[in-house]
Amino acid sequence: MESNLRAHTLSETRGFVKALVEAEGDRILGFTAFGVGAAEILSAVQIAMNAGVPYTTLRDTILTHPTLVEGLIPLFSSTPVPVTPVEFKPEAGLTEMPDQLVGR
Amino acid sequence: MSATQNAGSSEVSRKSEVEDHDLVILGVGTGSTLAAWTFAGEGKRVAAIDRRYIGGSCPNIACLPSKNIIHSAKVASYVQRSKEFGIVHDGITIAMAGVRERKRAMVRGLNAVYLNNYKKTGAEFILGTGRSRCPWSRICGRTRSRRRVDL
Repeated sequence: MESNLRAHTLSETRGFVKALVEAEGDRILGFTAFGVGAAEILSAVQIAMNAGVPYTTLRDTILTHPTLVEGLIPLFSSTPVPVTPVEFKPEAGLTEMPDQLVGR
Repeated sequence: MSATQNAGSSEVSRKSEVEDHDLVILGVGTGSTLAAWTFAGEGKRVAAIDRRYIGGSCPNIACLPSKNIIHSAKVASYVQRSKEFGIVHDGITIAMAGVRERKRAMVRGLNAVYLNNYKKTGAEFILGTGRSRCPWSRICGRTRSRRRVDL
């Protein structure tokens, strides 16, 4: 919450957000929020999880600024690179960058 | 900047004022602040120049200070409605100096965070003005140039 700019405007920087993302995919498996407006932030992620939206969508969406839910962008931007990176092989007949590699 | 001041000095000292950068940003708002940190974090040599604000208008005079003061107004509103919530008081005074100080403290804190990010990423923040001696496309925006830039 210390890195959430809206939380600074509210003088409510205590807390954290935490996400569990699939190691070899983009699915969000779990999410925890503790702090101001946690319930509202949870709902946004809950909808994404129920709809099977990859974490990259939340990471890349331009959310209203400055809001608490906007903190999902730095959270999901800090996701480590997968343990087994997918190799891009142009000779294999691929004409576009595989989805798994976009943005990494 | 100092190169101009030393314009009359020897060739050697003039040369020492010229610095190489991969990216020089004139006018640093939110977008270019993130660009400066990102490119510097990737090992590029970055200079970000703004004449007044660390992080641009957003954390200093726009998005965030406005929401800070609006939140104080919300608190004042709650206090005025406190009876609804079962809280009784003997009358309130809104001290605008206190409202302003909370806002200023937040901005100071954000400035410190931003400066720390500059330090961590290795991007150089320069409080001042700059101008281009070559076409804009060569030194500004996201274009990186190997040309020397005289600041």
